[in-house]
Amino acid sequence: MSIFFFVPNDSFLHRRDPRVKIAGLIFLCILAMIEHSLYGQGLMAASLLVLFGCSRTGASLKKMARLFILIGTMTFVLWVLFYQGKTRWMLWGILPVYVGAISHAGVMSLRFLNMLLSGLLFLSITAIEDFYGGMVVLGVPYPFAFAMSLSFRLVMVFMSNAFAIVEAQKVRGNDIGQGNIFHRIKAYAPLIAPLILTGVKKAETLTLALESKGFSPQNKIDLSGKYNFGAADSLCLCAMLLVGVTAVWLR
Amino acid sequence: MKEIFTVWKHTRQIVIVALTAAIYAGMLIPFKAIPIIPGMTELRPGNAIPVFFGILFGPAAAWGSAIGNLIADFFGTLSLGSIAGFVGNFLQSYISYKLWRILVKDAVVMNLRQTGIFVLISVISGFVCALTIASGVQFLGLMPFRVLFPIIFINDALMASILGVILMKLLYHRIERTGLLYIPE
Repeated sequence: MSIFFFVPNDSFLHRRDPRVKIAGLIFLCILAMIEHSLYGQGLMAASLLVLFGCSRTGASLKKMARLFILIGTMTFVLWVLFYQGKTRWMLWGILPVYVGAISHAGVMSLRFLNMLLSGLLFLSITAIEDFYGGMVVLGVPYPFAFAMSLSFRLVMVFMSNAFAIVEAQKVRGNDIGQGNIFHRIKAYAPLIAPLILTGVKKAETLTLALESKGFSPQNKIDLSGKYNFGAADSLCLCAMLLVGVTAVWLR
Repeated sequence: MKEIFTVWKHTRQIVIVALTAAIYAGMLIPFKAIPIIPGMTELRPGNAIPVFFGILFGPAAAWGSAIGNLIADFFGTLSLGSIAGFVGNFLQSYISYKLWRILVKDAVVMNLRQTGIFVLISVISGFVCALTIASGVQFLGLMPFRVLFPIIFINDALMASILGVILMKLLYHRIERTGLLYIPE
């Protein structure tokens, strides 16, 4: 079972070149940032939900729905309380609420949600291997892309180790849910220490394993043949450009 | 500053970057957080890693902490704010390494003086990390600075100060014996 959000489908969005997907993610985040109207942010959220539907990745959305609703609500409440306008509207406890706070909070919470939705859509349609491949083809230095890729692979191992350690410590009576904050923080040490030691031991063997297989940071890797930038990918980039220009013009 | 980039020229350093990232991300997710304000503020034990690993592994740990935080964001919370998280975590770890090198010249024994220095470093690096992330997120218009800054600062400083000191006492010499500690060229 994968702990990541990638949903292996054969949709139009799934088939796109990883470079287009990365560009799309950046484009959507920038679009969310430059859009200042409630309608614009609402339209973007609706469009993103349509894209989730088209790529048949609603399962990822379902997994994160509760967290996103919580984040959206908290962002809204915080911006209502901390927005500083010119005219005071009302007093909420000791905090003054200014005129325009509600619409400002609406835009801000939708902006945050749109960025999170864009990120989730990207994760749902892009396999980790393609993300790594996309970075390399886009010119990200190979050692950096390799370290990212290796980390993604190792995180699964460490997470399963971490779960095993938590269970083992629970059996020994180390309950991290008991006591005050300081006591609970201290209770984490016996959980974290074995995990760190396992990782450090791995460092030496992993270095030898990589070097014995001919790995060198100076290696050049050519993945250009793996990904074909097709007409549909160009079309997607043109669509992004068009939407971007329209959004700027409408501002 | 040069050492930040020479990390990428050595296989062992790249492995340490990847391991730091994997341990950090692997710790942020499965260990249950301690809620302070449910749904809003929580203490994450993984926050001790950037400071602790920064002192042990230097610039490689700084890159690893930055990448680890980014990977944790890949579990559903990826946004432009992740860039601020990347920079903030990098600085937290790198500043910890730099300050420790400047302030601790003798053997690491974690006596009262060194413990005090460690706590001071945790607070300073937590402050810089919180300042970077909260400013970045406020600039992007995602969350108010006044709310996010204290949450991140308390989270980072408290976790690193308490858990980090325990980890230093428990693990520093064991890891030192593996010969993996960072020695500046």
